[in-house]
Amino acid sequence: MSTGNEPGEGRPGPGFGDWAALSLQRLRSHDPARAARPLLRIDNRAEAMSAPFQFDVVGGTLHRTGCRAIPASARTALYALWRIGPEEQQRACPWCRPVPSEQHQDVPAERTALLFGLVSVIDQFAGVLKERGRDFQRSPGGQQLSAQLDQLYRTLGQREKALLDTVLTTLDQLVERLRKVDEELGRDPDGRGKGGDGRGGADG
Amino acid sequence: MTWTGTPAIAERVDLLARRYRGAAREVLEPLVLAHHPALGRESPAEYRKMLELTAKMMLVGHACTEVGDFEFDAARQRTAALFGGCCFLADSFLDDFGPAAMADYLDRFTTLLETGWFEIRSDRERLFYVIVARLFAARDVLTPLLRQAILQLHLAQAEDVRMRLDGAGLAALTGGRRRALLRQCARDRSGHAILVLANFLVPRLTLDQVAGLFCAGALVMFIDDHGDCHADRQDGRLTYMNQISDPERALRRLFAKYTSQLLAILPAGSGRDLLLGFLTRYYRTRLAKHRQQARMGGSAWDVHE
Repeated sequence: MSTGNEPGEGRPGPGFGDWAALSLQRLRSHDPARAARPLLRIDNRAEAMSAPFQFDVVGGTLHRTGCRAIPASARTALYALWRIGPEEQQRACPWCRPVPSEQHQDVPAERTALLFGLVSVIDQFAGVLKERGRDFQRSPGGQQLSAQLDQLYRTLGQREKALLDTVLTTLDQLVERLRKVDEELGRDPDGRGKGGDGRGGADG
Repeated sequence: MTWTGTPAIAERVDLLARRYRGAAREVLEPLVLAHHPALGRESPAEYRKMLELTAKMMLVGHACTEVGDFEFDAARQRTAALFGGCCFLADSFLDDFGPAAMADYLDRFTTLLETGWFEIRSDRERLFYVIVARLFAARDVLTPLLRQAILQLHLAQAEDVRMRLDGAGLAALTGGRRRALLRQCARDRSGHAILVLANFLVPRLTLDQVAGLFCAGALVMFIDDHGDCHADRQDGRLTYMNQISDPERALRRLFAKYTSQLLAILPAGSGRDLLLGFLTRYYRTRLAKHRQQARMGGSAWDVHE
């Protein structure tokens, strides 16, 4: 390496993002119960199986899912597609003839999924976030920010203050309500939790 | 259809290759120093190899970005460099620490993809995880195509490992069947890898672009395996390129076939030219590497441009 410095000396060390990512992973050993819930699921094979189309990247051919004309050698190189446009018709398989269709959903209920994701992260890591927040509040940077926010709040007019309070209250209530809905959805008919994340994927 | 590069394209490839060596170091060195300083201190050859691979990924990333009609700006350069570092470290877990470590890493990476949790056991793994976390933060990692590309790449790596660990099973197959499996595995590993890279860099790819880039990625692996032919044989590793009687002639045919496909699929433009310029240069340098190692011997640790 080109530097004669000690490790990290005079160089940018790990940023906040690195620290946060590593801290999240440490939770796994500190709190196995919380870590039993998925943090982020990249594997979307379950959703991909129900997608209406598959693109064979080797042959460059677009198929309906399960088309018998898909070569065996291309089975490890298929990408699920939820929607195709008219411009993609030129790559359509002549055997199964996939057509663009309005009723095929691409990413159903994406906003709801995002909202649930947000609530889930807050719920799962509330303890860590609060602890980190308290540490930050005590730090010089945190105190400076706190003073600036107080100053900003004081300069707001009555209407702006009322609006800000309403927004914060509404967000708080929304998070609480979503958490309750999520808990309800996560129960079996007999009232027990079903485990796992239970939320499905974003592109299902 | 054959591609005939111009001196201007070759010069551009040369220029970018030099530039990205420095850029790769700028992105990765602070992370190496912070999380795995022993890599540079105790394994300088491996560290140089990491930077060389990363520069190559940046060059390919540049071509993918231009194919997608976007500018390869500073943020994309960082992303491509992180991807290079990530690939190098992932390969090292599979290649350098024996079968048990290889199988164990695959299991833990499966858990990472299924749950987001990754058990970090060493500085090397910490560096790998930090790079992965930065990559995942660089773009919405939950876009359907990117998710699938990451998973497909992982499955292709797992298949490669399965074949490596099951030497007897592979030997029991007919020569033709064995070569077909090895060829498909090589195609998939690098084909899906370039789609991961491209999806980290470009928000949306057309089907033509996806097919064209997969084809370019597959060719990279055949070229790579030809270059590593002797080192792989020394390590007892079977690849498609070291299982055929005349690999140079086979590679020439593969090069002609894949570059013709690329020309037919991807529209003309600076991205396609850069991709083909890179592939041509890589093909020539790996032919030379193969011949050199045939004469003088060599190992997987040799650093080649």
